Amino acid sequence: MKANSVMKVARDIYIEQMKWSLWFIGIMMAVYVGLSIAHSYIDFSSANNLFLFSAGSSMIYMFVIGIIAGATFLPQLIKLGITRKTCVYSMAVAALYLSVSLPLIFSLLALIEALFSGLFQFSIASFALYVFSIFVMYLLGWIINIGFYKFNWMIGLVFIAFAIFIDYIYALIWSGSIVALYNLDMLFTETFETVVRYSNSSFLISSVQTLLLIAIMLIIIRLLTKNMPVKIK
Amino acid sequence: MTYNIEVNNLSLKYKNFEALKDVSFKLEDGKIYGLLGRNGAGKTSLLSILASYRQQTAGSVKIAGAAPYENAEINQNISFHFQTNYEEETEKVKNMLSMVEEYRPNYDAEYAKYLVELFKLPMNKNVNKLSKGMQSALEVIMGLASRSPITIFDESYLSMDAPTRVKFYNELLKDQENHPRIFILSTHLVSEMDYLFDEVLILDNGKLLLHEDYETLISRGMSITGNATDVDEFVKGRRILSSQQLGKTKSVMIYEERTEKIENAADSLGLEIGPISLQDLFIHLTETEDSHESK
Repeated sequence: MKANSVMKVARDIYIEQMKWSLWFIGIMMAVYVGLSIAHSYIDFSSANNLFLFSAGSSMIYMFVIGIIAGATFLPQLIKLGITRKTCVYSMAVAALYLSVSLPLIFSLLALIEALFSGLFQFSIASFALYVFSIFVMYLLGWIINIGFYKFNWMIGLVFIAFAIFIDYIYALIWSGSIVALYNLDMLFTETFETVVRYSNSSFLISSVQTLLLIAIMLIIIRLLTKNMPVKIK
Repeated sequence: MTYNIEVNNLSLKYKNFEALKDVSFKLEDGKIYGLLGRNGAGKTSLLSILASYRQQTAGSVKIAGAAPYENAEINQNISFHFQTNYEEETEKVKNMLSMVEEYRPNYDAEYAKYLVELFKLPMNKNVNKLSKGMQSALEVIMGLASRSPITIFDESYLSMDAPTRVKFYNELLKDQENHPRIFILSTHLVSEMDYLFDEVLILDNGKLLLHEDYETLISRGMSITGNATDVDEFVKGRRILSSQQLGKTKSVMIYEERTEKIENAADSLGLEIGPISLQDLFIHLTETEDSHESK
């Protein structure tokens, strides 16, 4: 008898999270269109396409669903007879799918927009940074959730502090091009060349450092959930 | 593959509290087990270890010869159903069932459909919009239709009304006949469920008080009915569990092996000997254990 595979579980989690994400994408589109219309009347600076406009919000969105996902999927999947290991691996894979899907969808929307405006900026670097940033945020939300779920609220607060620390390291990795993580969307207004020029380190080195940080976070999540009791309620 | 369960010297400690103390037993394929115990006796703790919801502090659990914790092959064959809080479950009933179908290797969709009709469950309603009783029905449908070699119901039927519970008991017996597996039913509703059990395990204060065949267990006690004065005379010096009197007729439950000698003695006084209920026995056994503890 074949056990339930990581890819199968990941697909189901991904589909579920994409259902949530359709709402988010819809709302982002509505806000963007609304602001664009307002922009013709009032003068304020706004990002010049949906891809750039959505970056900051996507990070917050991924952070929030990272928090929700930890509490939602693990008890559900354990109840279906899935092991913690499969659960955690599947959630990580699903989060990665989602982290690629969101910028991809916003890029396509920006492309459609470009058909009308004629303006389309796209670089592999900004796309990669978008993926990295929202994936990291998801993992941070997930770690905080584990802190509260596995331990008590006081230790949960320690986990928040830890998440802020990781967040700081992440900002440091990209510090040449960004001041703080929450200003990250500023980066997207720059082209790939300017990113490289202003970075203390090269894009490639920052990417490797980011992957390393992600690997550390995933190991922490796996270790914390390995023997985690699942609540019965 | 047979999914026998072997538990040896199992203990579970929370920070300042020992939930399970040195529990050992064996459960065999094809039997229905009743797990009884008062509140806080350790029933859910024990079941959650069997279902890999948590790990034991000491001792071992073997299912189908292997440790079940984080064992994908074994875990997918253990179903654990408890009173679940579905307040935030916005999924439709049919989607919940198809999830179970996807992940449970022995799931029978036809049977699930039959059960849904039997319990009159609305397939297109969101789970959080169902009544508590309906949510319980959904829980037992998922449990029965999964046909997992080990199926555990931890009080998951408490919110169902009496007629629905009877439907569930009947279905359980019927399906056990065609698809035998290990059922573990933990309950407070001893008096209405006792006929389901092949064997009974009683937990008390984290210890396994007894594990016995149902028939053997209830032959450990009896009821003596007849003229009040004769009954009083007869039960003098014996362990009395409970007594009831109506006019001059008295009925007393005693805790004692039913032997030929006792039968003859009762017969000579014109007293009637009847079986004792598991409920009475359970109350008595856990009460005395309680008083031992407090000494």
